[in-house]
Amino acid sequence: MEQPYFSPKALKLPRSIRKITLAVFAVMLVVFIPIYHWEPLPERVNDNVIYFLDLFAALTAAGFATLLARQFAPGEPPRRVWLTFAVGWWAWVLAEILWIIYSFLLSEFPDFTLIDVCWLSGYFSFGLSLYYQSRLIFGKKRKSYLYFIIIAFLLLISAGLTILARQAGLGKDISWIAAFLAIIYPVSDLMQGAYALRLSFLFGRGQLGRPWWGLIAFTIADSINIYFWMGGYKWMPEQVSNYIFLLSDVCYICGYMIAALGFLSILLLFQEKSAEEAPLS
Amino acid sequence: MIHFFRQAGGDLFDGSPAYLDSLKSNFSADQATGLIEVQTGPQEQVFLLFANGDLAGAYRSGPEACLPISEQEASLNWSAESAPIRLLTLSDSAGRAIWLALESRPRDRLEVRGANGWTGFLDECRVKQFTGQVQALSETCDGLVLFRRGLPVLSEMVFCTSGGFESTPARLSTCLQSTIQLTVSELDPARPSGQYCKLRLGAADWSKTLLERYREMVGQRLLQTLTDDLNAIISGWRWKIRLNGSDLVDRHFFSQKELASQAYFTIFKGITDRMQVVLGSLLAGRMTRETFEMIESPEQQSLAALNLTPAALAQ
Repeated sequence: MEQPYFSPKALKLPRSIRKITLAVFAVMLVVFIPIYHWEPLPERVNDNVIYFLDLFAALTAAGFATLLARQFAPGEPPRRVWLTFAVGWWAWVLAEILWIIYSFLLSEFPDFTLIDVCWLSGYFSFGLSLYYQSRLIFGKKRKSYLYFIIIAFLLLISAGLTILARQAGLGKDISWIAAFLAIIYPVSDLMQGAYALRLSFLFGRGQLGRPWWGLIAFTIADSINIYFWMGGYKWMPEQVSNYIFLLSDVCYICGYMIAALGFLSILLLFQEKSAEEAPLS
Repeated sequence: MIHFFRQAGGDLFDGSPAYLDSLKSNFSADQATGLIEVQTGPQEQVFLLFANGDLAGAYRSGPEACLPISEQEASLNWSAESAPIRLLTLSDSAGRAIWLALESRPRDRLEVRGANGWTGFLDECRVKQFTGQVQALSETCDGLVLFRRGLPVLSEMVFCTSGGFESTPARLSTCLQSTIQLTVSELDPARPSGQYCKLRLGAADWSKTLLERYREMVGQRLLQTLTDDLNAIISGWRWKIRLNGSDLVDRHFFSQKELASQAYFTIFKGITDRMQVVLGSLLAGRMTRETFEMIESPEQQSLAALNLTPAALAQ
């Protein structure tokens, strides 16, 4: 069915936006790695620099994601994919901001905070976005409630793993909810990462697959974290575990950066169009 | 006697075979589409049909249907030194419709009265899932309409009034005031015009489903980017073909189906190459295959016969 041509506003990004973004991200990584690894600044300052770098990367990803979602008319199927994805990034931006605020105000975080609400909302939106994307690709008329069944399954798995972990003596010094969160984050990451990996194989070198690579980076980061949480650091020298911790946190910030660059590469496809706008006759 | 699109008039001459040759040269030089009707005998006519300057076919009228003849035969068959010649310049769509008419086999002749009669005829075609061409002649309007599986194909509908050629179905109703003589013809799948027609319809169907699917994946604006890009390339080839949204609007008359298939291949290759940039080769290939499978079998076979397949595009 013919749909009306929709242009909320011609997209006008600077011609060198890709180069500028790449340069900024490179500088951020050059600052991030030594500050994280060698901690040259006073502890508080050192931590804040890292938090703000994470926040800036998250903001860039969320900003580009929003810009991308705005390129679609209401009712267009891809709009749902990118809008829910953008909502997820904004939830994580909020989580990063709250993290900074909490770390200013509190010396120790409660077991369950607003930050967790934001992280979990982010996961929910990312999952929904993956679900919509998959539905678009495979063209199956699945109902949205199926996604909620998947979420229920995820919660059950995480709860089961939490019980097993505590029986095995893991996380005994923390509350049940804290242990549950420590499990559900990597489980969500793994599920989303695995599906994002599948999508990225399907998209191959296609521009539309690139933002999903960001979720794969988060999966790597959280997989390392859960490995250490399970005591993995005991089986390696401290020097090695430090480097692996560094790898985990670099993957974390890179997750935002990769997603941002992925969104930007799609936005530039629209940019090519905007240069010679032609109405649909 | 057969006179296509009588209301269009045309240029009438009395001329010799040598004059006919000069007319043919003019068509070639002008790269024009048109028809030359020569009354070579009291009950005999010769038709020469040109597609953008190339001779698409030469035909002699027969008792039942027109028979293809060689270009030389068209000049040799004259019984008199001079014969009445009618020269008709046509749009490409009208040229294609006449080509189908010249090569199809009349099956039935009937008469309907007014708009109601025409509507009844359309219903009958729909019920019988008729595929073929219908020539409609009335006092005010002559038309050629292609039917596919019971439905008229709007892009292959041409009719002519004193105001000129029309292809807008809404205007057809004004022509249906009086009695209409209908000639219902079957397409001959062995003839070039029938094969070209199936190829044309197949390409249009495939492009429609493929681009609709692409739009579903990437949205209207990225589809527009693709079509703008390809339209620029198509205009460089001087084909009267254009992508409008997900529609392949094909108003070009190729004199051979091979030439048409080359054009379609270029267009589909352009579509899939651009889809690959956005979706990747795996997904683009998958969509190309899935949409190809969705085309009706006769059209799919005509595309495959000329190597217009997902596999060929992937190479």
